[in-house]
Amino acid sequence: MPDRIEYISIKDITVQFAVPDEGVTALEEVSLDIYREEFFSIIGPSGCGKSTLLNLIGGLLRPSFGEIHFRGNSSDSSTKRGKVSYVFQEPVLLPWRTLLENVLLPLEVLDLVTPEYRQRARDLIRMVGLEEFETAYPRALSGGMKQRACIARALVFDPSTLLMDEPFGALDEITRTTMNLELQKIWMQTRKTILFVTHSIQEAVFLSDRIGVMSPRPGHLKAVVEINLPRPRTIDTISSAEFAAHMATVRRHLHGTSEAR
Amino acid sequence: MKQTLQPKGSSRFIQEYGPPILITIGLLAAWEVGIDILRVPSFLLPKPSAVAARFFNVAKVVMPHVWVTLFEAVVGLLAAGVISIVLAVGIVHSRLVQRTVYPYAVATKVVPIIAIAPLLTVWFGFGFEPKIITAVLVSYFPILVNTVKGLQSADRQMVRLMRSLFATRYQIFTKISVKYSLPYVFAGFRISSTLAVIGAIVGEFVGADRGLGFFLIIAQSELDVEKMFVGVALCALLGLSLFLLVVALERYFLFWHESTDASEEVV
Repeated sequence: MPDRIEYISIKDITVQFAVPDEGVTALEEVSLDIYREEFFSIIGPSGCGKSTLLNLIGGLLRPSFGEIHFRGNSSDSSTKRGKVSYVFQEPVLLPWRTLLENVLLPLEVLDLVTPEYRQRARDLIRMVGLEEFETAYPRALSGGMKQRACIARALVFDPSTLLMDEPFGALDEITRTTMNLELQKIWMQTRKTILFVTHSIQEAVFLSDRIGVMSPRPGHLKAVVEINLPRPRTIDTISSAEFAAHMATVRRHLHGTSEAR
Repeated sequence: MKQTLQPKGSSRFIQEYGPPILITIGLLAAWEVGIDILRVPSFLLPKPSAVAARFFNVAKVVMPHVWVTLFEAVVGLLAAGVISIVLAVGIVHSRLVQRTVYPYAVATKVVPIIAIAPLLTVWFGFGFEPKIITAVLVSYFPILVNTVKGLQSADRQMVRLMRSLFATRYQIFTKISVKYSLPYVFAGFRISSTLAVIGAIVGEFVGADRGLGFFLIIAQSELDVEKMFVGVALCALLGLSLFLLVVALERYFLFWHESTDASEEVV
């Protein structure tokens, strides 16, 4: 467990979308502190505002009320540029670029194309196990390989925070487990702060330091569950009693109806 | 993701071009024999062999006309491409441009080109200009419509990713939207490549002293059906060559696109 240094602080965030005749509240009074180098998962049913919360932190969306602070700075775009990086559910790569060229794209946008960063891109591709495919075009890659490439692309400009929006949701279960092991390894090597949105309780428990359980209508944060399983976690961890207990806790929070709001 | 297994080299060539070539040979043979059997008089419908022989006879006369029409069609197609792409970029980025340009684009498309062509001859005379203009007028619309659609077809997640990197509008346009539009732009050019030849010939019909259209008018006035067939065949070959040129460029530039290794869609 890393030292608990408060890194992203979310205070009383409310997001309302203007729909004609009625405002839809996507998120209501969410407050949360994310620690530096923490792996934090957000879990909840569809429509509970998980992706909205991610987009707020990424700066793609502004809150209606409330504030988000990054290590003391207010969250305007100038301070966030080059700090936050996304991995989406769809592993979108540009089909006319080779894998390496795809990984270099963020560097071009951020004007960071230097020999050092190029080398970093190569190292990251090796880290995600795709060094043989540097010059391959995306059409020749499988879904899991594409998502690895997207992770390398997300890390290439050395952001402090990785926002992952159900990145393995479209993969089959076997590939998904492999990717979970790999992501844990990457996280332990690179020490990023990761916010990870998922529908899978097992995935959340396996990867996370803490899990935020969300609930819909309106979207709000119901509970934060701490997962104090030792790292690195392995396939065997998944079948352990502690793991099952943690999954049960998360499941109780997700489905618990008797709790008062 | 498609990874079709394809035979290499000559067998692939035969697989792709064999059937149409065989059908063409079959049709020409049937025509040749049919005329003898049905005793069609040659001044109404000549034999393919006679048309071919006639072509070699008049090649020295007719080839300069071919180059003239080819020149007009190619310049017209390129001009149509430049105009359409500029307009499409304007339409995609500004509602005002969209509202002002689109009605006119549709209006010029609706007026029959054969109705405008004589007017153009009055204004611009008998030179290249009116033919190039008719070529532009009949061929710009498919490129315009397809380019607009193509520029709006960029992958939304990709645009979201670029925004999360705080990419400028210009960066998103040049690195993402332009490339995603290319399959559409080429589809437009394919349709327009054949239209541009038609436009050039229509322009020549109403007032010219050279070009395939002129050659056809002369052949008609002489009631020389064989010569007319030479002209028609050359028009077809001209349109086909321009079309195949566009297809070849498309294959080269869109090597990454799915359509390039799958069977071609019909235009």
